[in-house]
Amino acid sequence: MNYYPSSCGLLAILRRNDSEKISGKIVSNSLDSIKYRGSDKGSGYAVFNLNDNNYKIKIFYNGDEEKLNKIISEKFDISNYYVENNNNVKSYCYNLDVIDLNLIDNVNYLLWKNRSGRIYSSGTSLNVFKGVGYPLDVSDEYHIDNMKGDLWLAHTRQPTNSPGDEPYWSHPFSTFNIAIIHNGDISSFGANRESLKNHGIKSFVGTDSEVISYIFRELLKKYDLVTSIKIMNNKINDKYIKYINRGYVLDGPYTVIIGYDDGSDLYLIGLTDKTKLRPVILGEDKNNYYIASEEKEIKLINKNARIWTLEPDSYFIASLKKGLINSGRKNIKYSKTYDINNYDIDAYNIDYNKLDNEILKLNKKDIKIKNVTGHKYIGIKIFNKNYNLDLYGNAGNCLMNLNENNNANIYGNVADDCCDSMSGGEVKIYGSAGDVLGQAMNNGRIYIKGDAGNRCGIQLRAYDNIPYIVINGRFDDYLGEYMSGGVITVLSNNKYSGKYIGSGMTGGKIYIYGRVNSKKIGMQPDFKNNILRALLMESLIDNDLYKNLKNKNFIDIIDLLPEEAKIYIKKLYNKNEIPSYNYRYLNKNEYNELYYIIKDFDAKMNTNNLKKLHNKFTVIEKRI
Amino acid sequence: MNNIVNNFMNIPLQKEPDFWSFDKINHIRELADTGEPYKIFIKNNSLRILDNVNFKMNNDKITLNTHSNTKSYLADMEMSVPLYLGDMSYGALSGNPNLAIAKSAEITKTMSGTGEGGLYKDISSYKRIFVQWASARFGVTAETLNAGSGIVIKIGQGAKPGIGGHLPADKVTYNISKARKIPENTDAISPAPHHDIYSIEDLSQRVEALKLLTDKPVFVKVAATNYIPYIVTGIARSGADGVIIDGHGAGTGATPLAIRDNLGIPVELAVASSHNILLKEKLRKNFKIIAAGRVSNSTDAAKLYALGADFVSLGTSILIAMGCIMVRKCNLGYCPAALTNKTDNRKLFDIDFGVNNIINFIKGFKIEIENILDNLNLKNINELIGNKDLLIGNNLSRNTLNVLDIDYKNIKNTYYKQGDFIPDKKYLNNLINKGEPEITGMGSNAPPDVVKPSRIIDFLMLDGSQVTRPSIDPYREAINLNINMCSGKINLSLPVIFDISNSNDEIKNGILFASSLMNTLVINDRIKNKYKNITLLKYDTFYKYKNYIYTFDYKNKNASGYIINDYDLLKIAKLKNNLKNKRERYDILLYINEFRNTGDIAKYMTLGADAVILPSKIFEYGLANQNNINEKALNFIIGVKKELSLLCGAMGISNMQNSLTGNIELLRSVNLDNNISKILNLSEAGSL
Repeated sequence: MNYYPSSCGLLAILRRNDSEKISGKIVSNSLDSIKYRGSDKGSGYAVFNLNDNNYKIKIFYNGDEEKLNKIISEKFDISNYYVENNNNVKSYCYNLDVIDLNLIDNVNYLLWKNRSGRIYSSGTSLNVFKGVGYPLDVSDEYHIDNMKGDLWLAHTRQPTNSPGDEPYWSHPFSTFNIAIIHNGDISSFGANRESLKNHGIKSFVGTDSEVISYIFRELLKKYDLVTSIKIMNNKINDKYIKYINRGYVLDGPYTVIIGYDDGSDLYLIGLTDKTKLRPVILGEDKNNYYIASEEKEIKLINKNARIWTLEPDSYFIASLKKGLINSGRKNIKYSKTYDINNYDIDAYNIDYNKLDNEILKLNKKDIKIKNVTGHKYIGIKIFNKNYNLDLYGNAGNCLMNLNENNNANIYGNVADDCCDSMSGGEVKIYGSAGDVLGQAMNNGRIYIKGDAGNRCGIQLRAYDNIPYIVINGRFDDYLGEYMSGGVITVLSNNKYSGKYIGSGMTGGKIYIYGRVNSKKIGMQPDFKNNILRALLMESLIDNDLYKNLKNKNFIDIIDLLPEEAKIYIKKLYNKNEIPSYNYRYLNKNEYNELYYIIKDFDAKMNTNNLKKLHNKFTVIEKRI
Repeated sequence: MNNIVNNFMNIPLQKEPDFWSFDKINHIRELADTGEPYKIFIKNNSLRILDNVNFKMNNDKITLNTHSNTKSYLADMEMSVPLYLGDMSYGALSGNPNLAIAKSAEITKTMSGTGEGGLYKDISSYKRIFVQWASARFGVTAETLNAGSGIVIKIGQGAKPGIGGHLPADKVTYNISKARKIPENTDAISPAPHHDIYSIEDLSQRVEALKLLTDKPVFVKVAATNYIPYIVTGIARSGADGVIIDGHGAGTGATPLAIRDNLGIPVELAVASSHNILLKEKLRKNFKIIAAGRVSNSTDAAKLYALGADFVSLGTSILIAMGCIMVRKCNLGYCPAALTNKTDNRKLFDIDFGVNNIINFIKGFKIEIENILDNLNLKNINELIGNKDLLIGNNLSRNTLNVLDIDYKNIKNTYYKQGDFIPDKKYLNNLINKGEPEITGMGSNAPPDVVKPSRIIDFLMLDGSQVTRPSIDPYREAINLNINMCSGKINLSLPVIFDISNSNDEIKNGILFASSLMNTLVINDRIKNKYKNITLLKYDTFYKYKNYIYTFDYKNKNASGYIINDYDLLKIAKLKNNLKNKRERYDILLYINEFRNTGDIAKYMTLGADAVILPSKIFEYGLANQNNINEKALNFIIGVKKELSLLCGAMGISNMQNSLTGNIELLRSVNLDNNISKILNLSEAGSL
């Protein structure tokens, strides 16, 4: 039994109930803008139209047509059929009177035994179109541009290995009225497949995405939509449900997008793994809801769409009739859109990887660029050339990597991996930043007016110089992970900020305005109550102390234990996993150090934070 | 100064089987001493697959007057012989050895890799170096990235697939602290994954970025693991110029033993499979495969060339050429040969001694390769690369031969029990005394290749995440080892149950104390009220928790779960088949009588166990004395827990019970009896 890992770009659009149907042309053009994430080896689309009640299945098949007809007519009542696509592996579309799910599995088992074919689309409202080629190749093949739909899913794929030029492994994957696209590599794949096999599903083409579609289908037989999603996302509290479905939990990196018709409504669902290891951008405007791999896919459709990111370990749900059900993020703040009239470069028609070439062509150091739409690697060719760049729009991955002395102002959002290994210069982000901002930075400054994503300032280090990161808004998980030097300052006291702050810290300082829930600091053992009960049982602590400690977080217990208990407790965590923290006023040196930084921040970012330095901060440092 | 090392030391007597045997070390020393060929077409009697692949000819003439040509190209530079001197960092080595290697590569017209610790002294003045982009970015600046002839993105290494580089605190001296920009005397543990590379498309992105920056060739170094053929095609499609495939058994300065001995697959299978798939996908041209790990002599190298490697990498053998005596203390910083000692200037390695030896070694190695080519009637090295027709397999299983894709003399399923099981006392003792994963130096000697195999799982290897998904950092990120049993009625912090029923009271009390603190389960012959919530009561043939029964009798329909003994492992297939769509209602427990290390636990879980049972005699075997039993029992459980975190993280698993149980995708068999592979539904290492 095989498994084929791959990598991908995603897009999904759901219309609002009072809006017009979405044109396939919009979908294919938007997907085409990120075709570098995929390859010519596979793309696909799924469209849902709620009012379509005709049963149909679609089959890729490379054998004798009569034989296929025989197999299908033995299992189903066919109204009619036609060849939709005449490639080396043909696509047959059968209109049926009714569909039995078990029979689909049955036919797939028969067809896949010698890899002669596969049912790849089944349902009423759902229609999948997929093949071998870039997004526009496949949309041309099926005339996607002429179609309209209530809900679209679209996918471009980079297989690490595609056996021959066959379409079976392209996304979306579907089971009855469920379509799935996925970016990631499910590490629980083998366990998930084993559970499905125990329940009689015998035939797999060998992708994790297909397995997810089966899991979702099986769970919906027993549970409602939200429970099913929570089981896959490992967010179920009920001990029995959790136990009995232990083979249906997804692990590893994933962004999964599901389209689902429950018979009366259409749902768009997006879910991400525990630490959001794959990109996922959410958006909405007056017409539609969006899920995408990159912000530019949405901004190309509507420059003014409201954008946010999915919180790690969470999910998004919207439906045609009910609208937004779960936004996937608490307390969303949208970034402002900035405009510019005088500019030196219009990036609109410049390739995603060529903006530096245009910068180098100009005979000046202060450069304004408009229409930055997901351009990657900006600054890498000019890392030591002392430019001042003003970027309007949304910057793509790997902005200002290895920067030594350039200054960059980004009027908009920035994607992932910004300022990796930066050793000087100043980067100011007026929107929000994606994940892994400022990794291994060892000098220079990063200012963020909006929010920061996962793993901001990880591996920050200082030797001869001190790097500074200042965040005006919220941050996601693992702020300052592995940090060994430098200073991160967070100027807002946001209860929705992330957890595991300073995990693995061996140096440097994190200042967070106001009191941080100590549960969020470092990596604390999750069976604290058992530990305390055991200490009580062994008379290592007395009842009073037990009661006193019971409601505290682990990090706050450590220092309150008597020495004879500490001996044991200290073994339960690595010293670096849990930094120490203090909620206190800044001392004089700290105040003086931050005064100049925050004053500069206020002046440049047009904020008013300086007076906060007189209030208390949560100061996080390595544990000694 | 009298603390300069400039001579070979005597090789100490090897008390335990070592891959780097006296003969292998001696061969390298002969070359390093003389610069002349010593021995070709060496036949080793071992279970290592490469030792059971031979050339089809019988000539083994050695002469100094050779005719063939070993010239090759790498990064647009001419190489005298396709050798890469592999990726040993400044920090792992003590500086002067790094310099000796870089200098020797220059003189011998080969290529050397600098590893991830930055560049020592004037190494940057040498052009025949590949510099590294590794997960911790140690020493990474635009300047260093531009310093060599190419860049290596280091995703993983064979000695520790799925975890990051590891330089123990003792070795982080002032000099190292300066080179890596980190505090002195703190462990330099690189993040397990690259936080900019979580997938193939992320890798393409980093390759493109590094090329925009430097315009130099970019190579990707990965550990050979389960998906290696797919990973290599992904790397080829990412725009990289080549791959360094580092096999199981490769050397290192420091690695957790549990990872080193249980993860990754042999390089010979990985190379054969990768070469084939690249040909099939039309990606082989202009893409280089560098094979690394356990290349101990020119015969090994020639076989790997014939299986499809363009280059082979020499690491440990270069250290041996410089005087390494294989005492395996690299992680401690007290290397007697001054190669991997800490950089406190107390003992210095003589650069000229090193350069001289390496030059001679490579010279002799090259002439040996030329002799091999001559004996094979080949004019140049290119005629050997990928020429599998020259090879023949001997005593290998059919699955192994399928992956190697070579002719065979005979097909043979090796009987899995080749020797008696002997537990690893030193390892157990370390866990019990420290409560920390055992860290060790150099390559693996685990079964089946070196130590004689005695169990089926000795032929099974676990996956290490490389490129397609990130591993999870086991030291600093959340990895959930909790499990639920009995329909969710029992919730534990670890899938390990201790059977203390046969121990004395002192041991019992210690393990009960530790289990209570750690929230794990014990099996006992009586219930102490204090511990009733964590005790499975033992009866003759079954165990009971409240009303829940665990039994060895698979016909008992009233059970909550079933127990399988490790020596009856194959029964698990039958049991799962019986349970079918009721499988999730039951717990399957695996009773481990023969416990080598925590890798066993992970392997039994991937084969279908929800949890394992360890008899307390294993704990007792590792005890040096009876003092502080409570603390030692706690250490043992914590040590096991930490090692399981390492293993799960390396496999990219954040949730042990959900993702590991029954996940045979994470297992590969290595030349295991094909009948057993079939029963357990296992794929061969390197297979598609």
